[in-house]
Amino acid sequence: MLETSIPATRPRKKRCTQTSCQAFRRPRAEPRGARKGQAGSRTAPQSLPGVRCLMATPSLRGRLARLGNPRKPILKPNKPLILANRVGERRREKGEATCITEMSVMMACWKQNEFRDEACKKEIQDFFDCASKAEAARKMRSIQGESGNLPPKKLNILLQRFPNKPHVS
Amino acid sequence: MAAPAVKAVRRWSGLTLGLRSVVLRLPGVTQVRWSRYGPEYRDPQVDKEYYRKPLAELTEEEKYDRELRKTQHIKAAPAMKTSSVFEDPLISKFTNMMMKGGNKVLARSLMTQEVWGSLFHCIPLQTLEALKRKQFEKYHAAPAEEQATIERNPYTIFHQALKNCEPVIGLVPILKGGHFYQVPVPLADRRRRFLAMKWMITECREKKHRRVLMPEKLSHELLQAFQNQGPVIKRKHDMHKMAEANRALAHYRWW
Repeated sequence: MLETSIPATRPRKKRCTQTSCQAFRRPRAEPRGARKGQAGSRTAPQSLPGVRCLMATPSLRGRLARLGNPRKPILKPNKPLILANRVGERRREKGEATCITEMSVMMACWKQNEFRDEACKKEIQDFFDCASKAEAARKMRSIQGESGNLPPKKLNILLQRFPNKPHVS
Repeated sequence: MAAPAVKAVRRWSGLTLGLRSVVLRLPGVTQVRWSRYGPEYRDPQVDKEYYRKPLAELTEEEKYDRELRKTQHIKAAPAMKTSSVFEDPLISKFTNMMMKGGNKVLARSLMTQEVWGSLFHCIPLQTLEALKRKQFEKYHAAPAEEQATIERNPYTIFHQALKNCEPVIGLVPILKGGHFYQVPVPLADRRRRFLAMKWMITECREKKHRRVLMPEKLSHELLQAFQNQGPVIKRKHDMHKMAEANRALAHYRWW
């Protein structure tokens, strides 16, 4: 099995000082704050926005303190490493405010006409139409649910009925 | 679609299909305002016009709907809902909002005509009756040209007044950075209707002399709202002004 993202302890490579070496003059491409594999770094998975990126599970080989393992433990988990019978909730999508333009047009009309509703009927009607359309769109999106995977709530029900088997029977 | 465990519970309890059994039982927690009807129960159709339509005029959807009604379970109609021509859903809702402590008799008598006949010598002035009387007095006092413009039907006055009181935009407190900001937000139709009725009732209950009766005060406020004047309209305008002042905060919304 290949070692993947969690590196074992290795002697650090000294930076090459020869002028012919490519690493000598290569500027730091990553911004200072980005960690390996996180967003904004060179090693972050590059994919289309909205597509779930699938990363390989980091290996556990030789990481835990066990009788047969000669080296120091890399990981010291405080709970047993067993899959739970539930998945985490989907992170809420960052929405944005709808109907801002219609609202500002309506408020401009109000300012001109001293907040009388009879003078601004058209703008008010546009605002209502926009609001109802946004509401309908939101409802459609919530009814449609997730494309591809099951929603987390249904997954949890399924996992409750068919739980993980930590033992060998 | 329901899990087999839930279906089994329904059969064991011996209840008829569709009635919900008690699911949640926590000590000290009582479930209130719940319905004994399952999701498959449909609302009753009280409107006579629906049944008077001749079969030839029905569209495919309506024909399908009628056939479906014959086989589906239908909830019992509530006591206050009738097929009468005099029934008005807005007036019923307003009467329910005016009701205190379940005293529907009093609320209804304040709102609509209820003749208590031989028990009392003077029939108290009800709201709609008071509205009609005031408008008729105005009508007879006015010259001929103005008589056409005076509205005398109390129901139209009531509906128009409440429509004039509905706010167009509402304010919602949103927590951002540890502070609550009043953010302008579009309101649903039912929320707007509710706010109009709530403001009207609050205004009539609190801001009046203690000897003034509710129907008198209500009819006065309804007439003022009908002409786009008065304290309830002012409250609506105050709400609009605040929304206009806070329009920069509209981006705090996420819906």
